[in-house]
Amino acid sequence: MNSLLQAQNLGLRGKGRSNWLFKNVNLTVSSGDIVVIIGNSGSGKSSLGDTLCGLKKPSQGFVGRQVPVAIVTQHFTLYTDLTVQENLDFMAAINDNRAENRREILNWTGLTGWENTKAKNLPSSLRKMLQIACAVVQNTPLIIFDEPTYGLDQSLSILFYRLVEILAKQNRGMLILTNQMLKVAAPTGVFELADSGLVALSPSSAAKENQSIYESEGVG
Amino acid sequence: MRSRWNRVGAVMQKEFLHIFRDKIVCSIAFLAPLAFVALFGFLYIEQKVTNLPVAVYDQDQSELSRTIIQAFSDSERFKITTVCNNYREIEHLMQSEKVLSVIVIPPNLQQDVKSGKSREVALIFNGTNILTMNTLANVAAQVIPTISGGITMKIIQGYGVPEQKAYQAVTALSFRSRYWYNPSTSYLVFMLLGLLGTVLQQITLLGVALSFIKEKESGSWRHLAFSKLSAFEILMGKLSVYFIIYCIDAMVMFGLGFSCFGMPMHGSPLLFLIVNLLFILVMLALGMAISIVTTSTPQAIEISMLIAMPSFLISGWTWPYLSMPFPIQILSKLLPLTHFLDAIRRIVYMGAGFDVVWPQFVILGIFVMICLPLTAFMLQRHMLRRS
Repeated sequence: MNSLLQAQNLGLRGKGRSNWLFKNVNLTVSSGDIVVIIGNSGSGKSSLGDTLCGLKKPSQGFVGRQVPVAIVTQHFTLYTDLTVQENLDFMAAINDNRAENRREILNWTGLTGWENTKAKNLPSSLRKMLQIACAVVQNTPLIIFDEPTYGLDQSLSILFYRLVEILAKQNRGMLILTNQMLKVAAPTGVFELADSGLVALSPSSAAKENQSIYESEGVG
Repeated sequence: MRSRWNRVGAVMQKEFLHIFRDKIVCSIAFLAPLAFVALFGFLYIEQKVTNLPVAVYDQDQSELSRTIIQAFSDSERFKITTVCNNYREIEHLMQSEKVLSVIVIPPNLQQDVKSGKSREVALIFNGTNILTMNTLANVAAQVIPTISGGITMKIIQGYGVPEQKAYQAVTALSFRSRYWYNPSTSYLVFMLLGLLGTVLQQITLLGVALSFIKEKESGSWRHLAFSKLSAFEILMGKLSVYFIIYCIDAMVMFGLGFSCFGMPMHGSPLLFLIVNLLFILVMLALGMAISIVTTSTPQAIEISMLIAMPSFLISGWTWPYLSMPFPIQILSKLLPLTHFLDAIRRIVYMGAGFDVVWPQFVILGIFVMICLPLTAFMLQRHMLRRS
């Protein structure tokens, strides 16, 4: 398995430069990996995501990324005045992807039938799915999700978990930042973002075996 | 190579959709030019100021004083509206701007002139509006020699000189003015072209400045930064769309000016077109640069207004370049608008060819060569920083 993203001893200070948003973060995401980082709101998750993909410069440590990345941001950052189809087409085109599997992606994300709706007229949960679809359509080896299930109802959440599995089978690496336990099958690693760094909740080697425990501990 | 043009095409297509789906952007791009050309065209449709209200204070009430008043009222620019009887009344009329000028004829004028005494007629102008004052003073300057010539002739005749000889003596030397390039001294010809050039600057700068700032505000910029798009491709895609739109705008605006509002076109339309293209390119690059350095829509609007507002005044269109203090001369030369307006005035009104306007073309060309790569570089840096 080739490594897509590494972080070594990564840290970022807040704007006041006194306190650390996060520090001592060591992380590797390889192809086919599903890495979940759990943190309460305000724990610096989004900043960690921004630093890992290169939007923010770390105050300490080092990030290595060998491949293009697609990001699903916490807030809607696509074009509200374009339709679902136009957003998808644009994201595919600027990433040199013909996206023959566009029908499939629409199905996976529950957007079939909404192709010609402008993003601003979508229900907010489907707007999130559109962001996810736009990340998938870019066909990058690595996807970083920031709060992907926030605001999704149960059926859409299930669609998302299924999609993650499909993508893992396609050998894509995924990093999921979230504030709630996810029902993702077979995560490679689940970590909590704590003050001292990342704390493994279920060691990546034993992830599959511990899956049932992890689920019962997590969301009821 | 082919995928590069695919990406540029995708950006262009997206940009067109943004423009046509946003009512405000769409009206800046397509309605504002029409509105401005109509507004300014109709504003100056009379071409010159006429019927300016004038009062007379005739303290002589003689044949001579009536001749003088008649001579003034014969001019279409003057309209004698009021007769006043004292200075307090004059002041009131001037302050309430019921009249813009007063002809004051002193008492015993006819008698004194006949007896060979030298007398003066006073013309009072309201100097707070230079434009109306100049018009009145110019007309007065044309009327007065005729009147005083007539009187001089009568005086010479009184010395026993035959009428023909007296006429010759009075008209021996005269001056004639010719107004080249604007023979009727039309105010429309003077102002409209410059104003339209300034409108072109304003809409170009604003439209592009808004296009990019929106991507930053909505966050869609991140997806561009992470995509395979290079800074050059983003610039190409966005600017080519705006370039097409503003070229159409320029043609519509100036075309209406030439066809509907009687702006004369004495020069080469091709030269005029080329200088427009150069200017639009510079403004697009500048607008994009504004969009890159600012962080919000209001900020982008403020900065583009800050550039656009004083530029017409310091471009040298209404106030001669030579009369500006040195630092402002430098500022004036740094503005692309100055060179653009210099070029179009010379081409359109004076019929100047490339042999005359090549310096303006070279300067605008240099602006393009500096601004476009600089903007691309700024965008590149912004993409690397990504936040």
